[in-house]
Amino acid sequence: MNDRAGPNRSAIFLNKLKTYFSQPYNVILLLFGVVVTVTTIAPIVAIMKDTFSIHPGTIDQHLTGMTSGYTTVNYIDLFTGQMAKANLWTPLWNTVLLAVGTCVVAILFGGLVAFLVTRTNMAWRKYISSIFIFPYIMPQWTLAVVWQNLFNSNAVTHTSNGLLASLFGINMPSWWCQGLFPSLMVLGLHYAPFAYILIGGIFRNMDANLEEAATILDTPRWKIAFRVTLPMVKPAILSTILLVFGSAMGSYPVPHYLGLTTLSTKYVSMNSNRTGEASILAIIMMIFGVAIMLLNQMSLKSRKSYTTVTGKSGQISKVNLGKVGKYIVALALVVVTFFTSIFPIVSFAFETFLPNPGDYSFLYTGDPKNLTTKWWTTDENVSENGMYGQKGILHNEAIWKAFRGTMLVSIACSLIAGTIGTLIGYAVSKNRRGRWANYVYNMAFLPYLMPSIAVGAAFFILFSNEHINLFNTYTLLIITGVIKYIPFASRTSLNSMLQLSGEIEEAAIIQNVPWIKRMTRIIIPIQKSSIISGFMLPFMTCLRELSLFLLLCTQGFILSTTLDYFDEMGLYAFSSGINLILIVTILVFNTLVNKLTGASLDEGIGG
Amino acid sequence: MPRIELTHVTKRWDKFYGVDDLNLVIEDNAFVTLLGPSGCGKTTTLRMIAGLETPTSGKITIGDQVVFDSESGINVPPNKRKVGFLFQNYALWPNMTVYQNISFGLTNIKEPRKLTKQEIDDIVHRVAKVVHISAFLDRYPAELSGGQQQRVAIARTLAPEPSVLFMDEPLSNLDAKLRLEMRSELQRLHLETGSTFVYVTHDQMEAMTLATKICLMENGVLQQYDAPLTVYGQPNNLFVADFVGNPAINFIEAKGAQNADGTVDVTILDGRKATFTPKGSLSLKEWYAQADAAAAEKERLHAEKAARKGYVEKSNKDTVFRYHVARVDDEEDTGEEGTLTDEDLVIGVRPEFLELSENGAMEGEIYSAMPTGMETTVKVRVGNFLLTGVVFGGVLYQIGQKVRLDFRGDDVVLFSRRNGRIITQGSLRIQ
Amino acid sequence: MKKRTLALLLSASMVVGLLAGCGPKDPDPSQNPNPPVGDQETQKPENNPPVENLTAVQKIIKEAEGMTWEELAAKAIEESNGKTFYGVGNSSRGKSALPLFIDALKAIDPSYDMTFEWQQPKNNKIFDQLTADGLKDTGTFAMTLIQDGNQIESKMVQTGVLDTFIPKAWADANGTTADAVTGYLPLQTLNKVFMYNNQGSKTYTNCWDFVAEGEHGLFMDIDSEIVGKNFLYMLTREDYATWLKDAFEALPADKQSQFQGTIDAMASDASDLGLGANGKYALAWIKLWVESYAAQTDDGPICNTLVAKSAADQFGLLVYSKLRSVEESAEVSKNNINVAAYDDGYQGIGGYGYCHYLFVTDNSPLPWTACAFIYYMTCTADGFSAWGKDMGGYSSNPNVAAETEETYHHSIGGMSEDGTTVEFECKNDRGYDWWTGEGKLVLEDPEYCASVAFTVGSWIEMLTKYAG
Repeated sequence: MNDRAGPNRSAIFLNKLKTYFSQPYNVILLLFGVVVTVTTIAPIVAIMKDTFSIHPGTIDQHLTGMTSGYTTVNYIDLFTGQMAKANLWTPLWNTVLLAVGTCVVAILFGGLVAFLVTRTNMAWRKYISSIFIFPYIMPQWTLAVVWQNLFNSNAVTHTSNGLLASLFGINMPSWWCQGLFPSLMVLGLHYAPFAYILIGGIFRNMDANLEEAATILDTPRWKIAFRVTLPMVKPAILSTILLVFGSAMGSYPVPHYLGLTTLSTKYVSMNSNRTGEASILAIIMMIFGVAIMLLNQMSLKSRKSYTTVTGKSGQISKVNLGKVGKYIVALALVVVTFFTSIFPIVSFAFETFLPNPGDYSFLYTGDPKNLTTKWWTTDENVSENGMYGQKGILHNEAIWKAFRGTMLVSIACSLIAGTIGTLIGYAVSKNRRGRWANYVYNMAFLPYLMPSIAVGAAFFILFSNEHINLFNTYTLLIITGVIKYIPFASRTSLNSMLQLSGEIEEAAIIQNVPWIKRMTRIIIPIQKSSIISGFMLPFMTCLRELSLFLLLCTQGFILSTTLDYFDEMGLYAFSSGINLILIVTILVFNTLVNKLTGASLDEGIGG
Repeated sequence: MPRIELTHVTKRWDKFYGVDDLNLVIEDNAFVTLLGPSGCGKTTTLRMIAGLETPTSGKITIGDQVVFDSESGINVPPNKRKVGFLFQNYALWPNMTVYQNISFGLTNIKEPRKLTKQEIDDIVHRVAKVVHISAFLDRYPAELSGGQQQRVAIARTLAPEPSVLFMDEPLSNLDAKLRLEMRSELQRLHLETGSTFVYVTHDQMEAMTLATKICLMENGVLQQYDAPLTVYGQPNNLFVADFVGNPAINFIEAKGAQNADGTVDVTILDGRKATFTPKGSLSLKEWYAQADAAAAEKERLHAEKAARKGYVEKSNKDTVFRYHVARVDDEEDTGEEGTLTDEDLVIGVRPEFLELSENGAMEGEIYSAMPTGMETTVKVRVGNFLLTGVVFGGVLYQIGQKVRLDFRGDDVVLFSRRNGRIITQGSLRIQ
Repeated sequence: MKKRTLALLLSASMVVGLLAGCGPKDPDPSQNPNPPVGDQETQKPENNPPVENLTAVQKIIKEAEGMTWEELAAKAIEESNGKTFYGVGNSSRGKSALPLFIDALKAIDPSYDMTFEWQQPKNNKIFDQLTADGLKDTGTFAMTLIQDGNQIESKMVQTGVLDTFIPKAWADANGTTADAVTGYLPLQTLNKVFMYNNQGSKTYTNCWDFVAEGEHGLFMDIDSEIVGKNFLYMLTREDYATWLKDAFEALPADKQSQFQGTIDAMASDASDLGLGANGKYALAWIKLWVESYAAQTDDGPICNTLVAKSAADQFGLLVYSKLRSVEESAEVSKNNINVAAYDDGYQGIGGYGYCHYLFVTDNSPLPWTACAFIYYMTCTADGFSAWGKDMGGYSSNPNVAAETEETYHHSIGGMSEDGTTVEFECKNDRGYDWWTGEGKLVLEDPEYCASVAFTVGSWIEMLTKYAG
């Protein structure tokens, strides 16, 4: 065997190489395999190294007496020092509670609405369905600000009275206003659309025969729900957990505003004088991300197959809520969604006309003198107009520069992440059993599962050295955003490619249609709606991302940091105005894309 | 030009052998059908030739070009193999009209030169006319019926005028009448285009009627590769005999030894004595010796292969085909046969060789009769056994009617029960 | 003997504190001594080292410190014409000051032009950013405007990332010389002061009232606003601890008894931490404060809250200048609040003063221009106008401060049009002198902060913060 192959082994190798690279999906897998490996591993290595480095002016210098070099003192102090409980265990526990709580709220609320919309005859389903997505469109902490504006009170939080306190004199208890409960409620509401879309997708396609079969066998309703319906929805629930858990863990602004100490907020606060220990916190958050991925892998294996429930058509039996019931339930949802979706927007708009931030004089007096358009129209910042030296939104270069920056980052991220993700999804679908393909897919997915703030921290450390210093550049933001959001596209792309019969492409291969043309003329047009959502999701998410970019740029660089800056400063008129700009932008883009391609947002988030 | 040759082609997924050491030559201008029950490896074979599937090992040549050779790492991608492929599910591009579906491939032709718009238009209209879809050129696939979609797929495949055309059960989704119609269309196309056709089907009728040669496979192994009538008349083994032919062949278990004159005295059908007279000269003993030697050689080769690095044992093992003997009390085949000797034989009698007459040698009773007008299929009960026969013309039989019967002609087949293979053909006389 | 050494050290550190912390305003000869003997251990190495040991930028700084505005401007024009100037700072106003600076250079050479970018990093990122930038041979940033003396000292100055440049005119105005200045160059002092809403019945006449049972002051969280933590550090310095003690003794007996237990309990901690005799008063106040304040994200929301009618009896410690932007309405009025220190009979600390410092980066790409810009901001009223136009920021240059007051009249900022009728009492800024004297403003001393950051600092971290 050997001597037969010996003489032309190199030729054989060459041939094999040629064969390997003649398949576009192999090229894609190899290329992006290397890319995602580097972009995923390198930041982790950088942040690992940081945990052992000595940072001048911080605790490790104080404890070791050295100004440079390496030490394990950060680990020792974090885990065993007298601050271990305050700096590590309590935040860790809070983080886990927050992440779990967020998943529970998102799944219960999103699942319930999904059920009501798809499986009952509730009234106004269409309205509720579209309005329900809104909290995801808005930056997550805006809901936290709304929460505060609703429930804060002089008596409990020592601030000015919120709406509930000033209108009805109701002072909500402290646990309701600050800490874990409001944080997980706000994040849960924010991520509920995920659960709604994923679970709703299954409800919508689920063959009602399955339930009907059980009904005919005279199974009690609750038993049907637990033994038939719930197992069917399980994959969607798992997907939701997969998508939400890491995101909730890594959220910085919500716990920051609502006064909950989590690993993310602790990371930020410890960064000044316990820098190395803060990096350890980031690593702990990353470990959670990896763990979730492994759990997901295991659950996939035990399920054997990737396909969820397809079901051809099947009459969906709708639960009858009764003539009055269907309106009562709908009304309840309308009220809830009013507060999660409409009220924020209305209050944002209103806020931009108040003379002072949070000054609702107009509501008490009805006197239009207590309203102003100065926040929009002031075109100079020399005379003091109670605007803290800022020009009005319409004339504020800083805001519009940040807006352009955000658009640049979002569009670039969306195009790059969308393209790469789509290609990865395509390549993996062509090589479903390949080990390398699965590796590439998982490697590409990993950054998504890692908390944003930790990813941001890792990228900051990676790109802040004597050779490359990308801090506060759009390049850095785009790189980070792309890495983080590839999974949106790769996931939707893989799922849609798997639905596409291989013959469709083979028919074109046989006719010697070049790969590019196969993609652009056949595959992408057929699966355009889910592929477009693979582009839209990074765009939308990027537009309002804060946790990820928080550590990577200065505060006027992009809209979300500008927005957060104004929110922290208490200039709610500006932050509200920016919020409106963001929401309008997303709606405009969504409508445009919808009109141009027929694809819509609530398709294919997870597929 | 395009003669296709497969040498030791094997495809396996882990331990499962989809195609096992297949050697096959498809002559130019042939119409070959790959036939076999589902899962036998015929579609895999086709896809490997087309390049859509990569063999685990072996060598494939199309014309004078080696398109695949595992030894030297050659694997020409499908688009460079210059073949046409008709998919089972049509694989029409739903986002394109019929016209676009057909023309899309043509716009990619670069050799010898790019086609002009006019040329493409001409071709589209020509092939559309051939398959009678000229009226639907502006429609989308979803707006067509199954048969129409099928024809679009054919038109799309034909348009670039491939010299080799592969078809993967193209008619399986059509209703019976349309299938019959399309079958003759295909035959005509084969003649008109002069291309080499390779056609996968599990329908033996389709294979028989269309092919110039049938390649019958089972469990990834080639069973017989011959002209349809050869496959029908001289089946290589029990499996082939059973798979081809409708109504199915009658298997009659026999026990007997060869006489000095070459005839074989056998006991069949519960003790009835009969004589099998081979067509040509035959020495059973020699035949067995040869067969055993061949089997031993095969075993040796296999052992050698098994010793090599990277060999994976076939999990889907090959076994001798378990033929079915029809009985009145159709008891379950227990699968226990005891030890078979050289005297254990099986005689295969095609239904048309069963002769019902006034003075046949054996008595039977009509068990069932199914007249179609052109012919009547009858099942005759002999003792506990059932024999199927075909009688031409509109003869009416009463159920239970006594008849006498004989075995006609000298194309009755003698198989070894031990290895399931054909020994010879000849005539069978009841004593 | 011991007492005398202590006293000597104390007075020395006080002087250094004043000098280093925030530029002295009124050059009183006795307060601007030559580097005192006791100051030796805090002498920074780069201050008076032999010339040959200086880095390239330090040499330029040395040269520049002897130059007049015209000389320096000429160097800057030569260096940076047509280039881009990158600055980074905690104050966004650097962005407003730069165009004025460019105009000033244009006035000298009309052909001069320079583009600029001013970055304002979030949270504590400015230190990471400068550290990372400091690794390069030639940095991106030419200079910085930065706060938090504690971290500046440990992360920036001791590591050699930043260099101090003392403009000649500034030294002159303060009656000193560049070589004699041992601290950093402050652009301005900002003050955070105690304010309370007066719509309720409560009054606050003593700084101990703010930590009394049931009180929850609004304050930026000390983990996100590090200068807030520095305020607490500074309280432990003996002179400020003594202020607290004095205020405590001014309390009526019943109130005293409320705090006495806590103060006594702190005695051992104070000696463990190496604090002075009155350290226990400081620790007690700190403990009560940390365990009671209601954390807010910024001074903006605190201000918004306090000026509203509904915030009866609430109080906070926040940047004084926030008041400038409050608009009058039915619900909101600047007259809804009192600045505690302005009240007659108020006892104890009135707030906290910290500085914006100016530095040239040690790998500055445009060191001459950086020096010129710093010169312009600290030595001309135009240069300071980006900050000077608003109340609550006091230039470290007495001449500039005087000129600014001349132009903007912050001391009568609360008067109505006629200039004599008090419209908004709280907006009559009593000025730096009053605040550092009668107003008992606790001033940040970077070196003191750095020295206790991990002693007092860790002690503070162990306290349980108030959480709703």
